Amino acid sequence: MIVQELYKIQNQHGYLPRVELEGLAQRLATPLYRIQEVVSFFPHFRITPPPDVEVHVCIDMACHLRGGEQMVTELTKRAEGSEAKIEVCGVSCLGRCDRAVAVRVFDHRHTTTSDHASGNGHARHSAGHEPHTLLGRSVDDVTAVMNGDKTIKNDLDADLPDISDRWRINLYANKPAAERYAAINRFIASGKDDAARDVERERVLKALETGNLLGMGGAGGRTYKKWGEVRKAVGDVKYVVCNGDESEPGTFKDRELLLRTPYLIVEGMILAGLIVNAERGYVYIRHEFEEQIASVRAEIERAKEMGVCGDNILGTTQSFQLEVFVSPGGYICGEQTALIQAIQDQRAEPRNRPPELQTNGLWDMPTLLNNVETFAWVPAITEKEEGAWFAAQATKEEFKGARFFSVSGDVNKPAAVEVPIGIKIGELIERCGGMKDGQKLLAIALSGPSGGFIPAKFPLEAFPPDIVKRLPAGATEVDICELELDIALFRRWKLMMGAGIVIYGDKTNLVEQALACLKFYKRESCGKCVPCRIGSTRMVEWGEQLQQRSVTKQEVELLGSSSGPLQELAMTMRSTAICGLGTVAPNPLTTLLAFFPEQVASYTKS
Amino acid sequence: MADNNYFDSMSAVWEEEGLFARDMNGQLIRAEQATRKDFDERITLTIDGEEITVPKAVPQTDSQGNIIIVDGSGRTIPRRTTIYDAALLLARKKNPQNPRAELNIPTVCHAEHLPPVGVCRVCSVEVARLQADRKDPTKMREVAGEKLVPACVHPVEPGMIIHTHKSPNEKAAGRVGQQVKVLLELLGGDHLPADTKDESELAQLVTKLKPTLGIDTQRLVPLRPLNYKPDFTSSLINVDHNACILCDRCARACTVIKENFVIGRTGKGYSTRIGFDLNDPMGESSCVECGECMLHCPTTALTFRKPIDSDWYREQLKLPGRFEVTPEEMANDRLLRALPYRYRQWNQTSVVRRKVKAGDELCILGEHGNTAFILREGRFGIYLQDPRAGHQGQRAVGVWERIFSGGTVKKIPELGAPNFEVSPADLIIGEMTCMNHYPRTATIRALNDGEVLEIRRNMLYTLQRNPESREVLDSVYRSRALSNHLKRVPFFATLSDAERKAAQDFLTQVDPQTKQPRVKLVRLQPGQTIFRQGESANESQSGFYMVRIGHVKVSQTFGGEERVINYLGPDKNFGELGLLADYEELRDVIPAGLENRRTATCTALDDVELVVIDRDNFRQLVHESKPLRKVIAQQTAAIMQQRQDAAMRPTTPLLEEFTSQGLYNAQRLLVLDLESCTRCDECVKACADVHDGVTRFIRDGLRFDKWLVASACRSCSDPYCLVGCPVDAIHRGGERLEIKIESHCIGCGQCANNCPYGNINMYSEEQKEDYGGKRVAVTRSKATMCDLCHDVPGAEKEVSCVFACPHHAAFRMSGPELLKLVANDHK
Repeated sequence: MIVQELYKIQNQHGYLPRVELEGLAQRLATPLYRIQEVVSFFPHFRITPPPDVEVHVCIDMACHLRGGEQMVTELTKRAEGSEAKIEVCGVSCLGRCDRAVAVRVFDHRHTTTSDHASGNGHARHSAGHEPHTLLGRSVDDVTAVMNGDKTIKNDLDADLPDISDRWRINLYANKPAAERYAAINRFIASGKDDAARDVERERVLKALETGNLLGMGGAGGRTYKKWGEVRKAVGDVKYVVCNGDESEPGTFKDRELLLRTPYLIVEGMILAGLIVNAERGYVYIRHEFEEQIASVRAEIERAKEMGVCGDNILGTTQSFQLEVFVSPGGYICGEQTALIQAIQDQRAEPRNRPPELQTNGLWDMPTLLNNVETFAWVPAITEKEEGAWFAAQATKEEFKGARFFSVSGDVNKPAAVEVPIGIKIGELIERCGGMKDGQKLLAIALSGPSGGFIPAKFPLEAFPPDIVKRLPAGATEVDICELELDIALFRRWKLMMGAGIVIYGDKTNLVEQALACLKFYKRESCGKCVPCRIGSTRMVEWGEQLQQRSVTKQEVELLGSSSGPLQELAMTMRSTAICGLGTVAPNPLTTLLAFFPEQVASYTKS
Repeated sequence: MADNNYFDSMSAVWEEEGLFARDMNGQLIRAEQATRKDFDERITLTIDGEEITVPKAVPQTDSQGNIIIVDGSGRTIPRRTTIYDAALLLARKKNPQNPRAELNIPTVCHAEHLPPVGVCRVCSVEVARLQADRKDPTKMREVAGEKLVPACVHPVEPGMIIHTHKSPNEKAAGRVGQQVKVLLELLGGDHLPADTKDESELAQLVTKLKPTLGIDTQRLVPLRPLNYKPDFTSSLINVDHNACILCDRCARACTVIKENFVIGRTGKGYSTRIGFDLNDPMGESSCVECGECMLHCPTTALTFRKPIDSDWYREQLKLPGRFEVTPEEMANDRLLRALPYRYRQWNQTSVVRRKVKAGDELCILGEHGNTAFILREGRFGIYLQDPRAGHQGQRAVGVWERIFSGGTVKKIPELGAPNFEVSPADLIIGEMTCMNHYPRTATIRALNDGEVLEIRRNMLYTLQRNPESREVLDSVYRSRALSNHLKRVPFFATLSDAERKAAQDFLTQVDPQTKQPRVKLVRLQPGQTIFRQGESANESQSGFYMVRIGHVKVSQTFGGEERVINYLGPDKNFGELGLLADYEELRDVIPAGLENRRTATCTALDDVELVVIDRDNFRQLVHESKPLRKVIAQQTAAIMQQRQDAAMRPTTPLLEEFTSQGLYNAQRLLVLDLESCTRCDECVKACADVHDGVTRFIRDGLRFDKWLVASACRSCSDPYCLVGCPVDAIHRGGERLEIKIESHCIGCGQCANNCPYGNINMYSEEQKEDYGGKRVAVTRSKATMCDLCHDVPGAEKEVSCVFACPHHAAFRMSGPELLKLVANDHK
């Protein structure tokens, strides 16, 4: 309740006035500190009246590469001359890495003079809550919008060409809407009693197993197993939650799925509810995805009209209530346990594990949590050849399936692309129009900032011996473009593979990029556990020292040596941080020092 | 630069589940609320190479470290055993006196009585399990988790192999030690000043582990040190956010222990801080300044502003032979050193060093007291007599009056030889009255020149929070309480001296079969059931109970309706019937069908202490004593008569009302006869007249028959209000049983919350205080209550409210007196 009530108050006043928060505490019979804990944690909430204009500029990865940081500096300078009170700030990834730099302008100025005269706070601010989005625009365009120019187009995700009818994931490509929800219809038709439905449940799980559908959120767990675990878990109430928080820099494929094919996600979730016996589900979507939120909400309504969602699905006693939970913001909400905490009106701080969500999830009840894409693949897998069709989508027999990658950075056509599992990285770059401006490949971030920067070619001695053994004899280095994208293969190589791939050309200043990534982790650390809270800050300080050229070559070598403070701290963060954020936070710096000594050397003090 | 372990350590990222997220069959383990059954389930694990079998659950403890007991059979609340708990159990095996000295798991954010949060990660340990070797499945191999786990949170599972930084497995020990070292370096670098003195738990821990782990707190210091402004707005506590490590202890103390709900975390990431209400300055928040957060703070983030200023202390120091004790000196005391440094600072005025000469009196039998004496030097005689006896007619003067009147020395009558002697080996004396609020049970005099530290009740209360000193105090208290009780309990009154001694000796011996003491002391909370009607009484755990402290309700069910048939106060006993039904003396009195069954339900009405003798020992005791059997037969006949009376009469709510209103506990009720009272309010006016214009009671309250029980202090025999006052500002005074609140009350409201009858009020008082050298008027909250006109001359016979009543409608009397009066009316 707290989060929803705070949204209401902020929508009405433009911020959260103290007296309203005190009133809320009384209404909900909640201590004031609980309200404060939530308000102060999420960047979306503000407790002071907003300035006339707020300008949010993305400064992560692809946007940083395209000059997001410089844009902040330039806009700040220009805003100083304005009569209006303008606040320009760099913000974490807005999920539009394909059209960098991403900017959102919030104009809180009254729309008409009468509103102003009547002091109608509601009208005054509600107008300002629709941001004006500018994607890949010039500083001049942003300046114009910042200064109130209404003629410049508001960039939407819907402006991108809709190619969803060409996606393999789309079971209903080029088909009328009435044919959707085939899997739900099939489940309900499978039998009247639970025994008959159990047969259908087994069939669906078997199809997911045959297709080898892996979790698309990054961890790559086997989906059928998770579903089976929640199904078996003891609990009167169970939940299905879809993680659509997609806040990792460089990642934006869920954005496309939520916008274009919400029916696949809704169908996947309802089917999951029927399989695991959950009667309630939440689609957790980051608040910056306004179009996507609207798209999913509209689809849920449509599904209800079709009778496949809500009370008494298709006239049976089975029910499944589904709603969108709009995230109050922050990368950490994408961490599955933190996401659950946020739905529970808590600070989005990851839980200590075990227990796992499958047994102790939302409100301590068994909960199935999957990524957007994972749910979206379900209809195609269960309805086409019992999963065999999906398995056959890969490039060769040893791989199975297909998936989406978000590709951004120095490529000509950054995009969310659907590719067969096993596609080579070089091929993926070609699919995205090849390297930008004829640059040579310098480095790749294979999992947003989490995996650090992997060089285009790297020497064999960088790998542990058991990896080297797998390579052809006589090879002296590995060309990353030759690597086949498969999560299991990557793990054998001890490489991370996420959904967001950022390509860096040889003109990239990786020291600056690494520092931006370190700052991202510091900014997004929830602050719960000591190693991540203090450790991520130390990492940024070291990065800044390097960037400011205030350390010598010897000092850098000492810092990065295996017994140096960086490696020691990195090890402590990996072994003791509660969640994955603290675990991976040192990677941008450790990989920079390990793989790009020339770039580092150019920054050292002589 | 091939020198990196990026690839080696990447696997930690993929470890989606902990090593023990699943059971032996690969099924995920659901975390369930622990049940009583878990007490009996055993889990075997290995800690630092030593195998130990522990129960799956351990009993929950309260903030005083007492195991929370649910009912008279000693049942407790189960909590899932964690790795930390198991390590402590192992340490206790090795060193029962001081188990924590053997514990190799350092902690910062963990406190045993608080729900664990696992945020500091300093208690991280390596967890491993045996798995079949992939190449040779006949061989078992120890496989460790990629991540370390926090011992304070992680439950124990069968087959766990735990390594701390002291493990004989050097690789694991090195790994754990290395991470603990870096964590403490991070905490130290950010939050400990470079010139830190060992004033906080964190600083002490770093100092202690420095040589073992090679900690260098200057290695990972921030480039830009934290620079939050200090918050000096609270009159009690200074807040230094720069020292705060966000261990969450203060927040949990505020919400879980005191239920004040003021402190939380505010902000996110590196700029997270503790916050009060809507991140208000502490002094402007709804904080009641109870000091609980400060006691829990392991750093110098929450520190005391200034020592408590108490009248008692000032008056004490005026007396000869009384000296101050500095916080540093307290650190040299065997008991007081267990208190946190800042607590010693804050409550310096709760300790006085007394030099005594032979014949000096420390306390007198029958007095109410709120101090205990730590014996440092000399011998002391314990006399079970009141020196004032035989001086009838002369108004007895309590120790308080003597102190406040400037310490006039009274002629001390001879008491003969002491009943027994104590010396510094006995550690402490006089603690019982502080712990149970009952009058002193003995007179104590110095036998030669010596020295004691006189400490007030709040010190004793806080001492019990330290596990080591708690164990010492508890064993002292239990042994004295038991022997004291057996010496005076009326159950043995009809025995001859020799018979009584034999019975006492028998009970104080250890049962050779069970190796357990024959009597035990059980503490109960209000509302806890001791046994239920109809329950079997013929089990080895069934007991015979003697009430030491508090009141027990005896009720029976007749045709589905519960009737209170009796209530039992101190020194009464119960539970014998069910144990002895086969005795020939009883055969005739116990109705058929009730043999070996509890004939009534017994429930604790308030905080109750019971002396319990189990079935077999009790039967043995009674078997050997004919006089005891006679006593029991008489009691039984009386009980059966009561039972019959209760069954015969129509429902009279008298006793039900009496117990539910808590009147049994009252010693000085203000009652108004509503048939005579004209509501003229003279009583209220009189109260206001003698108390600076503000009345201390309200002429309203519950009715008991035709009587109005006004909301004035009842002077409970077991006062709830005294429990937990952090500065010992409230206690029982001299002879009139009044409860007094001293001027150094900090206004935390604990006593007002404790009083179930709402007879303590909080009011605001303006006072001048020093702020940065200036005298500033500030409003402070204080507690106030009826003091039985303690300071009014001539009011010792009749308190003002009663004296002022023109209609002879107001009376002061005890609860049982009122009951008698009403019962007589009904006849």
